[in-house]
Formats: sequence, structure tokens, C-alpha cells
Amino acid sequence: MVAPYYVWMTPAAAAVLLAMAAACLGNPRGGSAEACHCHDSAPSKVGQVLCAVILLVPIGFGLVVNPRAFTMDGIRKREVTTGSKNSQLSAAMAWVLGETSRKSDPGGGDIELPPNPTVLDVIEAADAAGPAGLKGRFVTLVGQCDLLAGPQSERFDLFRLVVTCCVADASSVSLEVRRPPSKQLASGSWVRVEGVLKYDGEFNSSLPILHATKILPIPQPSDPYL
Amino acid sequence: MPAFSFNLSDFVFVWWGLLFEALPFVVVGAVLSGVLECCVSSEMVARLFPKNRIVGILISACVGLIFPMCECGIVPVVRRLVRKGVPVSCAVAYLLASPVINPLVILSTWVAFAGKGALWATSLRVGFAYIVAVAVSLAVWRFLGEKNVLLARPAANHDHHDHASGGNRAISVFVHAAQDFLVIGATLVVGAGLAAVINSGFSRAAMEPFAASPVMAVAGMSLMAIALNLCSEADAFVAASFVAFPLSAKLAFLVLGPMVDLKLMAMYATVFRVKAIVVIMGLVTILVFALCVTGYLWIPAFPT
Repeated sequence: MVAPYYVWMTPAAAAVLLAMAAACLGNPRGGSAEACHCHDSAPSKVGQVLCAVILLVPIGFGLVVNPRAFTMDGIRKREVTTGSKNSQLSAAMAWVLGETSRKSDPGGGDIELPPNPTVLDVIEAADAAGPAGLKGRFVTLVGQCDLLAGPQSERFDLFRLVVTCCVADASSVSLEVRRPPSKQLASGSWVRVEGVLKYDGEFNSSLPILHATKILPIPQPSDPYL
Repeated sequence: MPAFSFNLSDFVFVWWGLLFEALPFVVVGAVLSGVLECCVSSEMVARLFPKNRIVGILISACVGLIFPMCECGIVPVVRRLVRKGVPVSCAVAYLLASPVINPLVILSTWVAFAGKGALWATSLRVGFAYIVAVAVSLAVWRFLGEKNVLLARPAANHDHHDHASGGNRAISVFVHAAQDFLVIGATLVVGAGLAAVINSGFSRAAMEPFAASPVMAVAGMSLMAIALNLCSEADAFVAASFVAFPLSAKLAFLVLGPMVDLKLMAMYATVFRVKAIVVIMGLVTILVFALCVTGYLWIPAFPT
């Protein structure tokens, strides 16, 4: 639910909360026998009980609902358009507006991908280098399937969730995958796709399509977020 | 896909995510407030604080560079600062500016906008946040009246130096921290719940039509900032991903979000009166809107 570098904070906070509880149980008046007026701003007993009940409500919801991941609809709502802009239209708009600072042609030439590129790496590379940089490249990508057109469809979206702090800021980035007719896949399942990047989409000229040569179902990675 | 649809599982997932992320910072803020209560005297605050209120406000808006706090953890700290005699207007300046004008957020904004006008985005985010924080604080001082803003009058001249020392002081710190955490934690749960309803149900694609005009773009991004309730370290990455929106509109999201959102509205209710919250948040919203709409005239739409 949170980025890996936040995971340690929850147990640390829990330890501090236990220390607070121990301090309150051991010395409810803060260690002083004298009347301490600063405690006048503390909530009344009823208020304290109400606050404690409120703090327990999400725990109750979590125990009943026990969510482990977003639903597919939830993921689709978080899809962003990173890199999925029409580069020719963007260049035309820049010319009309007289913007010389913006690159009108994303340029060509090869761009280097990391050794184990992610969906996000490919999208960012496409944004930076354009079709000439990625066309014909063989890549292996890991992600989840979104089979809007059905479990045996020849097309599906391979997506990953990008999380910076917690799932509230999660954004979904995806690439279209095309495959020969084969066994069923389930929406939301994790797969490793090997294939070639081509620019032959009907609607979007700036993002490549991954033409799969091999699709292998895999278990969920230990760190599912980018 | 509809612009909004509710799913219980997604709602609880986002709610837990918001709480997991925010609660550690609220705990830190509560402990700091306990330290302030037990170890910092009102006399010390009066000695350190500038006598000139305008200078005090101008400096308070920059304190986040030295004592950075996120928007969740800062509320208990500000509660205690006000009780220790920090002028309310200066506390408001620190409250509004610190979640943006701090080294971590400046760095995350730079990284998020790398290659997409990082210098413009970062400097304008900091600049706009400073202007808004100072302007609203001046309004609190001059027009609202500092005595009319707070929920409860601060206790006069009470210090823990008299009756707590050593181990007792440490226990006092944790007892005060627990009191603050109980109240602010509960309001965080309520605020985060409201935020999770919108965050989990709202479709990002519904924002696309808002990019059509300056007023709609800024208004749309402002509403999204209030509704999504993202922390200021992460919101730059989300803002950068809305490629159809020019920088001016994204700045509305980046400046308004850390100052005004559903979670913060609930938490501010532990410090300020309802009327003051409405006025402060209303002023922030109007100022950000005005700065960003007029920004269309001089800020590059898509700098590199």
C-alpha cells in the first residue's frame, strides 16, 4: 500500500505509539502531582473514547473487506496519458504557438534501455526518442493484463502501477500487446511478455505496440509497484 | 467509463494507503508538539520571534527550509506553537508554506519535471506558495483578527520547567504527544476517509476535457488537488503525468494541494474555528486560481 522506502515507518510509528500509551498508563498527569492546566485542552473522557473508536473504524473495515489490490475498474480509472500524446499534433501546436523551446520533433536515433526495462522505461524512451529510437527492438516486459476485449483477445494492455508514496497517488501506465491466438489469460494476472516493438497502431502514433512472441504467466513480484 | 463510481474494496485500499502513509508523520508531529510543550518556554519564543509582525510572517513562510514538515505532521506542531505564544498569523504562514517550501518537496518537484521544465516548475511552485502563504497570513493578521481564528484560547504562560525534569519530562512529552495524536489522528481518519471516497472513485481520464481553456484547466486541476489528497512529495509526479495540461494549470495542483484538501480541512478543525478555516482556505483557493490563470500570459505552456 505504500512505497518500499515507507514500509519501515509504520512499525517505527507503532513503537512510538506504544511508548505514548505506556506513558499515559503509567503517569496520566504527566509526572506531576500539581494540577497541570495544559491538560485542560485535552479532550474529555467521552471525547477520548470517541477518538479511539474513530481510530479503530478503518481497522474494522480492513478486516471485513481485506483489500489486497485495486480492482480492474479501479486501475483503469488511474490510467494516465504519460507519453501517449500525438507527437505530430504536438509539433503542429508548438509551431502555431511559436514555442521554440519545445522539441517539435522528438528526434531519432537509438536510445538505450536499462537491462531489465519496465513498461514505464519503454514509455519514457518512446517519449524521448520517438519511433526511430525503439522500432524493431526486442524487449521482455513484466506486467499485469487488462483484457478489455475478452480473455482470448489478440490484443490486451500490459500495465504497471507507478507509486511514489502510497496507493493514493498510484497511476497506471500501459502498452498495448498483440499476440497470436493462444490460451486464455485473466485480467489482472501477471505475465512476462517477450516481443518486438513496432509502431503500427491505428490511434496513437507516439507509443509502440509490443508484438508478443512469448507470453508466460508468472506469480506477483515481491514489489508490484514501479 | 463514468467520471465517478464507488467500489468498497478500492475505497478501503486507498483509505488504508493514506493512513499508512500519513500516520507516521502525524506521530512525528505529535512527538514534536510534546517536545515543544515540555521543553520550549513562552519566554524563549517571545525572545526569538521578530517583534515586527510583517517580518515575522515573511520569515515564518521560509522556516520549512530548516524545519521541514509535511502537511499532516505540521498541524499538531502548529497547535503547540500557537499555545507557546507564536502569533497566529506567523503560524498560518508556516502551516501553509512549509509543506511546499521544504528541501524534500523542492527535490521531488525537480525530479518529477526533469526534462519538462524542472526549473520553471520548481521555482514557480515555491514562489507561488510563498506569495499565497504570506498574503493569507497578512489577511489573517489585518482583517480576520488573530483572536478570532483559534478554536480555543491558548493557556497563558504555562511551562513544564517548574515541575518536570529528566525522566518525568520525557514522560510528559509522550503524554502530551498522546493527547495530540488522539485528536488529530481521529480527524485524519475522517478526512482520509472522505478523501479515499473521491480518490478511489474518480477517473483521471475525466480530466481531459478540462484542458480546453485556461479557466477550466486551472479550475479542474484545483478541484483535483482538493479531491485527491496527495502528499506534497508525490503530487509532482502525478501533476507531471497530465501531459495535456500546460504548466500554469499544473501549478494550481502543485500549490493548492498541500494547502487545501479534504484531509487538511478535517485536521485544521482541531486548531481553527470553522469560519476561519473557510476564510483561509477560500483565500488560498482564490489566490492560487488568480496566479495560475494570469500565469497563462507569461509562463511557458510546456517548457523543457
